[in-house]
Amino acid sequence: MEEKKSNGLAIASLVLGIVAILFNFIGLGIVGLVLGIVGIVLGVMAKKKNPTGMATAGLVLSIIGTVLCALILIACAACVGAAGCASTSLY
Amino acid sequence: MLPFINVFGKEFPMYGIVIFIGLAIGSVIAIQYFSKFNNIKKDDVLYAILYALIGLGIGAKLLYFLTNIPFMIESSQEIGFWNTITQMFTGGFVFYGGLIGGVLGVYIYSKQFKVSFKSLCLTLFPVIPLVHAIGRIGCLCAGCCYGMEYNGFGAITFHNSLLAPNNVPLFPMQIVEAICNFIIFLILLVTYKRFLGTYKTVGLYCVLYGITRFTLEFFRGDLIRGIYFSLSTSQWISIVIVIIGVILLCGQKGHTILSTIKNKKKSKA
Repeated sequence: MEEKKSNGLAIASLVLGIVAILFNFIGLGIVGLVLGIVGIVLGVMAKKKNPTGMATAGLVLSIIGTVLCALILIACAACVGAAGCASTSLY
Repeated sequence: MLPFINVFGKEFPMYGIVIFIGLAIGSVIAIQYFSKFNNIKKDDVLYAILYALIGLGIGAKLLYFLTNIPFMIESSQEIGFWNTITQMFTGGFVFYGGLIGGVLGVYIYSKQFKVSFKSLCLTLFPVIPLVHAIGRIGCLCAGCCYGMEYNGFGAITFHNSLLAPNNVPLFPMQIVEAICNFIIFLILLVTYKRFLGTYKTVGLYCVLYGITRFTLEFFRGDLIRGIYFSLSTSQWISIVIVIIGVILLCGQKGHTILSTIKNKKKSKA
């Protein structure tokens, strides 16, 4: 039963990781970021319960998706600055 | 200075790339070097880092929102609520918010999977100044976190920055803070074995960085920041961080103070 549950977590993590990467390419970085973060948490839970290859793949893809989306969002921060947003700063 | 880098015809922000390089280097050092002193599995350190990064992102953004509430109210009347929220969401981050969020992330991980919070803290804290130092190089590339107008030694002038004022000599804030953070990292590295098993490393970091940040804030040039009673938000947090650091550095005494507070809370509950 426990194994089935962790398998479900691994599949969910894998799907979320893939979707996060796809969302990054279609310009929905914020949504992709949220999905990637959920994917990481589920991936870690799956790895801790039952460290299968699928759990590892889910975790890795979620990390890649989150990093890609975060990179795009940080790029947006610079763009907003260019547009003259006075509040844009990284401190 | 160099806000974007062109890779296969696509532009990537240097700030993000440098930050992720810093995080990768810091993670490797924490997993490979510091974990072995704290009797903790490398897997746990890696997962805790992931939780810390999630907390870091949320905390840094949340504090950025909180310090910009007056601007948000003003801006939402001009360009609408959702436009303001979108602008703020892609706007900026506050380091101290990230630090608090990161610690919370590690705490949640330690509670969820029953791993020692102390061991995780002692493994991860020493690499924070190193990651921060590399991150400040990213700030230099993007032109954010710039210093005040200054004509002395080492002044830097941006010519096509998106964030910093162009063609004005500025105090090299990013470089100075990067050097300070790197020195703090070296100090923590040298004293690490002496303070093994205690929160003194965490305390030393809090004291050193708190004092550094409090001082450097006076030389910052980015004006739109929360100022309360003539001190910036980061300076107020620096004061709190230094006090926490001193308590932790007091060693046994410090632990006694913390455990007394804990015991009092327990007895009240």
